[in-house]
Amino acid sequence: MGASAPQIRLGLIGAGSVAANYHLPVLQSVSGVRLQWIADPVTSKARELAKVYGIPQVEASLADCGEVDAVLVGTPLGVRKPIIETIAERGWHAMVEKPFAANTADHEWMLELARKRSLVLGVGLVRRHYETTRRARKIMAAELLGPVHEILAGEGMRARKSGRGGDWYQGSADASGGVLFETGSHLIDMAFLICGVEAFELEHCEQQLSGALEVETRALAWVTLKKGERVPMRIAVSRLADVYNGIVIRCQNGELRVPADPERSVDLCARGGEVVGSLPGAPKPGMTPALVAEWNEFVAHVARRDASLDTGLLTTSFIEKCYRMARDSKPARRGLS
Amino acid sequence: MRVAVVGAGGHIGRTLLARLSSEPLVAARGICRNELTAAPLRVAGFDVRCGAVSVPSEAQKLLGDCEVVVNCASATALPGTARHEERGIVDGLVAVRGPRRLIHFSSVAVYGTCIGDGTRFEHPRPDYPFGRDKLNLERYLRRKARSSSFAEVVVLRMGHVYGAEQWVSRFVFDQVERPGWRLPFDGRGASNAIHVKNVAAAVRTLVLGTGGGTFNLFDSPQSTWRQVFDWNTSAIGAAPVPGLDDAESERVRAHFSRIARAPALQLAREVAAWGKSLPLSLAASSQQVRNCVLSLMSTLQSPRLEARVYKRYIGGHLAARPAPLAVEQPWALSREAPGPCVDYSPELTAEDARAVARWHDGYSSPDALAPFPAQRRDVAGAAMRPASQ
Repeated sequence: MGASAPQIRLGLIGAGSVAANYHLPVLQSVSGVRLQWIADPVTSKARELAKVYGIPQVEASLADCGEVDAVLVGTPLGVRKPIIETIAERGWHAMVEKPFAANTADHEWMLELARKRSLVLGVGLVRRHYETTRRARKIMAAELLGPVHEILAGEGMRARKSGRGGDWYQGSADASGGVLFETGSHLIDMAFLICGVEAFELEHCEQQLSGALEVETRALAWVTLKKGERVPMRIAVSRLADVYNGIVIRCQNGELRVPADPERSVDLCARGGEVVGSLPGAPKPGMTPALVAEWNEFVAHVARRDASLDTGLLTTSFIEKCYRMARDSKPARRGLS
Repeated sequence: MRVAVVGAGGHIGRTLLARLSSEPLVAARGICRNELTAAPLRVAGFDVRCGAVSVPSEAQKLLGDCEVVVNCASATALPGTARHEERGIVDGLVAVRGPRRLIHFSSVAVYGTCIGDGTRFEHPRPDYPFGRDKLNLERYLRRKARSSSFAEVVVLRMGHVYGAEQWVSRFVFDQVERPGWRLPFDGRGASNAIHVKNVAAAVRTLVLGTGGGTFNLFDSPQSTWRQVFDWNTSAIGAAPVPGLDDAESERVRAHFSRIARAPALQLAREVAAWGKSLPLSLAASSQQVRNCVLSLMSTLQSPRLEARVYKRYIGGHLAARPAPLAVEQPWALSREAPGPCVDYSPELTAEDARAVARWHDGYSSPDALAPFPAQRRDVAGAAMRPASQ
């Protein structure tokens, strides 16, 4: 690290799988970050990670944590609000794992808290930094395929071997919010970013529940692109069935297929769907460089006190409206308990 | 008869639960670890309970009133952790008082990744941590079951499973999409494969029958790889996967057989290959290093050390290296596994080919994303109704 590189003291909130499997392995490769503490009510998990990654302090409560410049919020959505309040009070910048907020009001509240205290908020929507996403954005920005006619976005598979126990937050409606939050937040943000969506109008949404847990959402929206065109966008996310994983942008002269998997290629297809060219994805493990890029971007913004990071408000709004549309038409949602 | 399927949310468990639930004399219950894996089963209307079978008190609540327990749970973790978790499940199962019969899923991998002449039914010779762990778990189960309430224990050495949502079918479809792969010996050899519906049919036979023992579980009669591949490709209307000529097939099999013959030789070869791949900057991304470390971790049997090493030194640095062989899948070159197979009546029908085609279409075609087709039905046939503003 160069002498002029910024030094960010970082605290980790949450010792779950997101911190353990994604962020901690790459944080060692991020210049200018020094891990100071890890906080989790289950201190045994936090201690284990602290040993592996050489983190000096482990705490059960945020109140006992020392001063840092920034934190990673890696806790489930359902338990996040009081944590955000504490973070703001302590004046810490924050990288917030996706989904950023449960609804638009919470999202705006978080942005307002940050604005009042001049804090930088980042969001862990790592797919923005996939090489495949970057390439797809360039292709769409150059309008290589002509005007957009339709956007299809899907992701999911039947929930099978999770390797997780009963305490897994994704099995709890209160903690996770459901598949639209967990998976859809990535997918929708990616589609919006690649296509340059500026506004949307939700036309139709259907969801499938198991108990209170949302396990499948299919929606149709009309999205407005940069030049004012309105095109249909169809979304399907599922834990019930294996669905097509990726985003397909159908244009006048052909279609672009962007995979959800960063290691797969971006395909340029003829109008009938025949692949006519492929841009390779990242080498394995494809997510690692994207996570490093995400952290580098956040650290640079913290160093400059630049609070201009896009936290995905439009995505939060889309998800909220999907849930609301389904909830408000109660007979449409099949709840099984 | 009450029958519990432990691991009902998995690849095989769901089909098994569906088959047993359709049996008039059987009240089938699925056991899942968490609500998310239980969700597809709940939506489909199955009787499902969630809990940790590895905790004896929970296992008693979940399984105590059942006559038969089918254990098709398989841990998803690094080898040392998976071993620990699977032994925990066995410990939980044998502590339950009540059930009289246990049907436990093992794997054909106990005979080795590329089954050759040197492995026998009574003395299997696994050559990779997965197979070794499965065999050790069989032995562990037999030891523990002696002091349990189970009067009969059946161990099933499961073959390669194909059908909707199964990995073999996915592998075949992937080769169709990315032409270049060749079927060794043009698929003339025994596959040791089984359609998931046949798994369910065989388990049904065992549930309703008596007696214990260890059995292989393959299609009955045994399918060749050509039959398995062609069944899958014809289901989706694709051309057959081309065959690999015999000379090249023999060369590839010789490679895998050599490795299978002596684990010590395998380790030595990997260490030697590691040395050749120096400088050290390259070593971190070498497949040989990974294999070497995984073998070492497996021997040390320390999940914590394994997790630590993996996360710190390997996880972020893995890199795919092109294989020098025409076929990378040793299972495709196996000979017929030794030993008896479960005697059952296969239940494969034309509808199963349509099911695999629907599944393939669902995950491979973006057109399947278009929502709200008229009367769309979910995987289990439960209608979804549209919401409106």
